[in-house]
Amino acid sequence: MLKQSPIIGCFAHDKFQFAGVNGMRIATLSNTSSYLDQPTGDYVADLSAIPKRLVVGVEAPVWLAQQGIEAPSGLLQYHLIEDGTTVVKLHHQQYLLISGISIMTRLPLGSVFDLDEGRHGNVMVLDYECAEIAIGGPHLAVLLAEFCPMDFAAAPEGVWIATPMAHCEVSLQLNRTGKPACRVLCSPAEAQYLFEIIKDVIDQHDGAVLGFNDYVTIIVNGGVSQP
Amino acid sequence: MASRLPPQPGEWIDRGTSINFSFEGKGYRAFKGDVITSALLAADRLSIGRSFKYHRLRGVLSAANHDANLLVETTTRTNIRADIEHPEPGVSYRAVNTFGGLKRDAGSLLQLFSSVLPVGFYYKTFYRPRALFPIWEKLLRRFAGLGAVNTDAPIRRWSRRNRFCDVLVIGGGAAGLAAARTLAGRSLEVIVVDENPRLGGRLHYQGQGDPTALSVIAAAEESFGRDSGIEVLTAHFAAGFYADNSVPLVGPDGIIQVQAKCVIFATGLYEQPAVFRNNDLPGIMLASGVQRLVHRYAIAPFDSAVVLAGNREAYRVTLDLVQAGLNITTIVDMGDGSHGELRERVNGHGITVIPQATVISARARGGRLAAIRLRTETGKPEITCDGLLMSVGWAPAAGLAYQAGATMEFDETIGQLVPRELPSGLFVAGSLNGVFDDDALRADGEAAASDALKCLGLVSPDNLRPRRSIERHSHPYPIAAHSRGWDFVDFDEDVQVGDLRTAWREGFDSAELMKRYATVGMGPSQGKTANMNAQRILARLNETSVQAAGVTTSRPFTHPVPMGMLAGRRFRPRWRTPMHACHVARQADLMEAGTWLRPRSYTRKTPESAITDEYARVRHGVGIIDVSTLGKIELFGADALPLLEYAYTCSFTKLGTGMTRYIFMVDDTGTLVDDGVAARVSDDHFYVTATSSHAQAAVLKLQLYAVQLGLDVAVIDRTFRVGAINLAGPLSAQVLASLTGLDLSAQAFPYLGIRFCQLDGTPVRLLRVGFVGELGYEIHFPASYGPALWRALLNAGAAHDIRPFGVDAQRLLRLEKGHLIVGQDTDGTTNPYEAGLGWGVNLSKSRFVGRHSLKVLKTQTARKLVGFTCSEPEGRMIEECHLVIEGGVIAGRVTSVAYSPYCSEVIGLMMVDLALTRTGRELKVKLTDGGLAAVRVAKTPFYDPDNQRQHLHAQQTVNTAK
Repeated sequence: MLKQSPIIGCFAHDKFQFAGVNGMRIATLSNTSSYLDQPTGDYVADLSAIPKRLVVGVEAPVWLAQQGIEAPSGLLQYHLIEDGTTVVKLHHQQYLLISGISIMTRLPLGSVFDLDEGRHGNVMVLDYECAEIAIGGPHLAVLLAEFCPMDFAAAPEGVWIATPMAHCEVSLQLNRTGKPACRVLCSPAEAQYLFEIIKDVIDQHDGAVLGFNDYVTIIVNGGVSQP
Repeated sequence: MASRLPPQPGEWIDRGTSINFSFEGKGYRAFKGDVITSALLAADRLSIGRSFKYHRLRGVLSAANHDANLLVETTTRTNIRADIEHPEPGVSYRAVNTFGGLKRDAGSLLQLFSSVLPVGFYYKTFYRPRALFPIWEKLLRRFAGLGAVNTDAPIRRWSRRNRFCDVLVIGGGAAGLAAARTLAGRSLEVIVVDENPRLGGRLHYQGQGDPTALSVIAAAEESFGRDSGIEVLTAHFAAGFYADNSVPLVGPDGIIQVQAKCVIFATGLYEQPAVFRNNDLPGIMLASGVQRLVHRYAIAPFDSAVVLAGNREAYRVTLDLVQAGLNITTIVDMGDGSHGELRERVNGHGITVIPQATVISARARGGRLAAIRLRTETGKPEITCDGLLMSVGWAPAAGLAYQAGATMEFDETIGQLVPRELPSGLFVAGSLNGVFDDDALRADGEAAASDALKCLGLVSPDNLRPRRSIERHSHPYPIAAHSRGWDFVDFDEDVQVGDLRTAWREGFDSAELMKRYATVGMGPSQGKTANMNAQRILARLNETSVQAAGVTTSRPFTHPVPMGMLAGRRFRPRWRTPMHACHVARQADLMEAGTWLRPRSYTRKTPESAITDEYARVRHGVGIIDVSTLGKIELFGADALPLLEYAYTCSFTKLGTGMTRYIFMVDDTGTLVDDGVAARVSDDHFYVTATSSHAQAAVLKLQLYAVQLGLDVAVIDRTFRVGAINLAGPLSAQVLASLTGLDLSAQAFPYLGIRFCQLDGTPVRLLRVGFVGELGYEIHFPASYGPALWRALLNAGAAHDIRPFGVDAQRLLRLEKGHLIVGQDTDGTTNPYEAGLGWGVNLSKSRFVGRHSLKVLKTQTARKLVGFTCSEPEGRMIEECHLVIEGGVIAGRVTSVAYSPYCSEVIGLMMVDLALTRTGRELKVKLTDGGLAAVRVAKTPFYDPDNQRQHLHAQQTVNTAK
């Protein structure tokens, strides 16, 4: 049985192709976007198919170390692992693992993302169901200023930030240097609302809505700055 | 007549670009950069609007965004400020607040009835006879308000952005620019905001005689380069001041909500009008208003003008305007006219100065000023003129400073309110601070910036504040009240001196009371040109000082803000369950349940028959309902059990692995706040559900308790990440059996059990619980599997005619079963004993939240939740929250009610006094129409009191499946 992206309803069936990515049905390719030819404007993309796991328990740092992952010590601190996996300390005894986008070339860490939900030794591994939205482009700062009541300038580059965004509680990682971009994690229940309202701003600036594979092709492989 | 002047130095218009527009049906030509009023004045159109109450013709007063009588509208926008907005090509404008157009406004007939329309007339007049009020109301509503909203106009969305900075400088005049220059290049983020489209403030229009004025602005702009840290926001006004130095800046594209570490108020002054009979005639303007027209738009608004002087500025303005080519014949000086060199220079231009005189009235011809009458030492001469410039004084633009917590005092030397104390991090600079000369303005701005730097912990030179002016800049009483009225204090609301006297006589003798009763200062300009004179009049009536007369409280907004801007983009999250799209596809009638969207039923308008159909499928077959809104909490760690024992009232020691139990939570006072189910997955792992409305609060409480007790347990909120479906009905096990190999027999999977398995390949948790009173399974699963699993269940149950059911059917089903809903059948004071849940309280536990309160409450229960039935027709009219009446007094309330197909009568739950809870007792319920319905106290559950349905059907269905 295929999972389904919580944002899939925001993608018109006649404008996108859909496919399974990591067991999740998601919009992959845009049929109409000209962004592929000129990737300079604003974009928003659904990256919810990127696997995420929550490792829970007092023994979680030890267990992660056994997997070759150093657990961050401070809340919302993160480490970037070689294969692109990010580990973020989300809460007391709770560590979020976010797979790198190039999941096909996962290193041994891939096994963490393949684990079934449940107890594994002294920790519990949970499927971290959430929507992931990537936003980028020249108007990102304007969008964030409108949606988030916080001073991003006060936050160090690349740090994970917990903030309200358009009245939804999200975690986001912001890249301000180069071409600005950010990735936003939000609950599935709020994802469609949040994506629609972001898309509204992107549309105002003649930006593009990208499918998952569009994003990989243009942003990741195309050298456009990514979070 | 008004006309266009030859090019003026620094003018804001582009004479090479023309714009055609129309006003009141007539075509006009503007230059690019013109505002609507300047373009109309260039064509000698002085009358641009009608006043609010008496519909008197009005023209330009300030040309500074305070001309509330010059509001115009188009087919799509209303209340456009003609004194600051540029005309758009091809657009037709018309004046607001007219009946039949500006020229033949029928509303002007109200002037004939002014003697019977005194202040407060509507308070006294329209309430008797009562029957006529609807007629009066209709009439008054027609006359009230300004402009008409076209609800068919295209919707525009404004943005509301957040900004943060080190220093916010409000006002880009001489002092503000000096402050900003001092702050530039210091690695600070500084925002300079000014309501005008260009920086400079009055340097632009009052400094034309001084060739360095424009160069001051240019130098400042040059210093605000890329690396200066200065961001300039022109055409934005600061609309209010809120906590934490938060200031909304309103601009053409929306609102920027700035939060600054320090704020410098360099907001300047508002020039004030004189009060005399007919002081509102087109052609009578504030002197600074005329300067704006001349120097910004090259408009000469008259042929021949008189200046009414209450200060030295009047002489400077006169010289400035004469230099620009305007014809000023006379200065009527309210003082002795001894202004030394200025007086000599004025006389040198052939201008007559009449000292110790004032204007007492004006008269019009053809809707514009024709002559003024003076009161002098020798008589009451009349002077013919088509322009009168009022230069009699100023009031501080202190609204924001007041809102920020500043206190002000009246400085008798300069005749102006000045700041006395300011909260930390806030500074004042410029004429608001009582300094006037160019050098003093600059020095004061620099000093304010130095203060801000020190406040930020930075090194800064000690710039001394310049001395306040020692010259009087405002006349103490520029008011010549007239026995025949039309002596306007407030142009927005047509408030005259007599109105204030009337209000005072009737006891409204304080600033706040007078404001409410007389409406002075309550119009669109918010008293910017009215409050100071009103304060002077009140002081004189009370025979006290201006300081003692006091000022009214300043509140946001200092200037009207369009509602659309306040709304901004609509941020209104509605939580969607994982199966939301499935519900929409089945045309569900969606309802808001808190923040969630839930199907009320699966028809468009939810007729009662639809609820009954869905109900019947669950009672007699099988149905599914989306219960993803339930709170879902994972507890993992060695101290998971102690946490549960502490947070909930019951004991968990007997709860075996793989089993669940009903739980509820109380607060410290013993009040019931949440209920749900707790499942023991393993010794250190529990899975807990909570009510939809209390899920987040339950998580926070559990996390709080874990920290407070120092417990080794992780509390994980999975409400949004886990979906849930309740499969219910006697055939539910058959449907489930077709999707899983799990043994569903009563022995292998008993009532209240929890099992982990796969349904059609989806990893799920099954909880055998029954909220609706039938065999049922709560299926919990990773949210993103929701749509596929929902479809799989419907497909699997198709042979059994499975149907989804909504919240209304679920509530009916649970009511028959007598299950309560926390928050509906309980309120903010209900304890478990009142709700019939005393069996779930284990007072033998040594400690848990609410234990001490519950121990007391157990012996003091005064009311109880009981069932009731009603077989009478009026029972259908009983609604939730209807009161139970006994002996003429309130004895309780209905908490749930519905018609029960099973009982064939109305059933419900009610919270009533303990003495009334005997089964069979008749009680009265007061209906909405005032009538009474007789109900009988009944035992619950109404349906399946022995809970046989759970066990009987589980056995039958599994046997059948096998």
